[in-house]
Amino acid sequence: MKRRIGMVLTGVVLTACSGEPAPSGISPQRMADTIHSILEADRTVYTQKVVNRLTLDEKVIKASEHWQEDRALVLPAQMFRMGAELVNEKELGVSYALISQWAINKKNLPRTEGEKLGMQALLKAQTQPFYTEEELAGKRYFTAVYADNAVAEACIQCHNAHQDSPRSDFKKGDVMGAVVIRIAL
Amino acid sequence: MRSLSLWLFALVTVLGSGVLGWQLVDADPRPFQPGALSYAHHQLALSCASCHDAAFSGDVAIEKRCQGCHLAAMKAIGDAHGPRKFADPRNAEELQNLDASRCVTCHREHVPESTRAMLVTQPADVCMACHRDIAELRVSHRNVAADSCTNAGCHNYHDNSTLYEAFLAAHAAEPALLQSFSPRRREPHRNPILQPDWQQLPFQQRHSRQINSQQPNSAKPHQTDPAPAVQTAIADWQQSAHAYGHANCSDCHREQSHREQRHEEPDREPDHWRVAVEVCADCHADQWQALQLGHHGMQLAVGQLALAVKDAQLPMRAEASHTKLTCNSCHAPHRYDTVRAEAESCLGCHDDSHSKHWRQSKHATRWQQDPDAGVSCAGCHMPREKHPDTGVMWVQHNQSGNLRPNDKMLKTVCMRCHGMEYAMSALADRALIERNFSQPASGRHQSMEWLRQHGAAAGHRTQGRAR
Repeated sequence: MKRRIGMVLTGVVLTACSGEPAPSGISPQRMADTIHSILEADRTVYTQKVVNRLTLDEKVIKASEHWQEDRALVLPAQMFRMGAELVNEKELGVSYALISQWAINKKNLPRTEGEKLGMQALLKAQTQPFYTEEELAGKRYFTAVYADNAVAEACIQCHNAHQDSPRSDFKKGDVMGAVVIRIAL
Repeated sequence: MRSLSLWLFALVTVLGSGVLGWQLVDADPRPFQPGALSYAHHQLALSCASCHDAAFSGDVAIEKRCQGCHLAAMKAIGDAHGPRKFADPRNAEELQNLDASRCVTCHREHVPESTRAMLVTQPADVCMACHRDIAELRVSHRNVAADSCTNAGCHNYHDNSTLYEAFLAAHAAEPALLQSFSPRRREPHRNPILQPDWQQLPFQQRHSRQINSQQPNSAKPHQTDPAPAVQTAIADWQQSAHAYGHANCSDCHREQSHREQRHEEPDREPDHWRVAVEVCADCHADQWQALQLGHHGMQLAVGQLALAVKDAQLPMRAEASHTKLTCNSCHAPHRYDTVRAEAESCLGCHDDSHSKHWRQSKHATRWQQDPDAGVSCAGCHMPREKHPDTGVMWVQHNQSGNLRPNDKMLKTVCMRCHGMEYAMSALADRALIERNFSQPASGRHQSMEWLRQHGAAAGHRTQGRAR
């Protein structure tokens, strides 16, 4: 998956660095959609085929927020964020994050104007991604916000029971939050 | 006349620049530094290039130097506030208030007037820059002083691998003294003892002649009858782990060993019997690497002479003032007695209240009964632990590694014998630390009180859950 992301990111960077408007190439929106499709696929597979299967179906291991101390599986959200941090280290001008209106860690509430508008739009329409451009600390970004749905029983069990979760009635298929992808312009 | 004045001015300028330049580059640069270095880095005062690649190289270059020494330790603990946590642009505006992605934002050198413990140069309530809403999010934290976040047993900015609710809840009921303690004992010698090969040393004959010539009845060197100093050395060596198949005389006293003594005074008389730290490092590479990360070896790490005890900033014994910190300072040459090295060696130099009270503590009493089961200086500050790469038990030789904040010792040292709350209360009690825990701790800590009042359900997080 890393190779695929790398190839796509390289295309974006080359396009952005060319110095002239590219007559053809990958648009930021298509770029974001492509990255999201990869992220979503991997995230769904890990949640359904690893975490949900091993913790709830086969009950052979638990998944824990404190996975090192508990020698447990990394939670899907942690897996996602760890990957995002590794991508950030490459300083490619592309980043992704997981946010929610009902975030357990309040640092993951919608924070920028684009995130707030995107989250509202998704909660209304629930299907179509939200696209915008925003300026953060003097830099311009193309920002895409995609719905993040509860794809497994494990998702809703954890969030409904967590003491820091502001909502306890999630059902499978609900929009639990959003994936935000930013591309520096 | 005017021409003469100009010439004089030019001459003074050139000479003055030369003297100042020489002083800055080759001698003592401290007069040119904007302020004294902190306790953490004071040993680097003569080595500007340790932090500054070049003059005026800027914060980016300094940041890389910070990481050069500290990044591995930060990664090992999973730095809770590391740069990667802030790299997402969604944090950009918050970072404009406090750029927590850079070391030098909170740890700025040469400003002694605003430097607090652990080289923190931000105000004590710095956490509020990003966590102002904590009182709304945590009922227990209402009316808590904004400058108390990092008190012992509360939060650790970089390492939160211990101080989180689920961990506290899991250990809440532990007694002051655990029953499950199992000592990490020294490995017994398993290999057959070696015969000393002192006669094969390349400079042995010369040395024997020197010693024997000072004795009235020894006109000639005697190959099979070593001089008394060598006899003592051999007797000591035979009691060491080296003698049990690990290192013979010629392994350390080799022809080049003294030439590797780059960390000692250049004008010192050559001594063919002296063994440089690099010789020890040939076999003890991990210990050597770790030593250089702490205050005992920091100067060696930057290519300076070994630290002299007289240059330390902690109270030290006057008679040790000229001791230089090398391997042999703590490990007596030849005998390499690890029991001596873990307490007596430390107390040969350290003269602060905490050190001087150790002998009155239960830790010391227990150690004197059984050095593997008691607690010495090294037991806390240089603990025996599993090496993170090899999994083999070793002694951590970075004695500064778990020192500050002191709750870094909680899980790796204190909780091997004590219940968590008892240990936390001890680490938070400055007066008790001064007396080296020679009296019982209170056994109560505010963090645990909050947990009992507000967070009884915290432990539920570790149950099989996802997403």
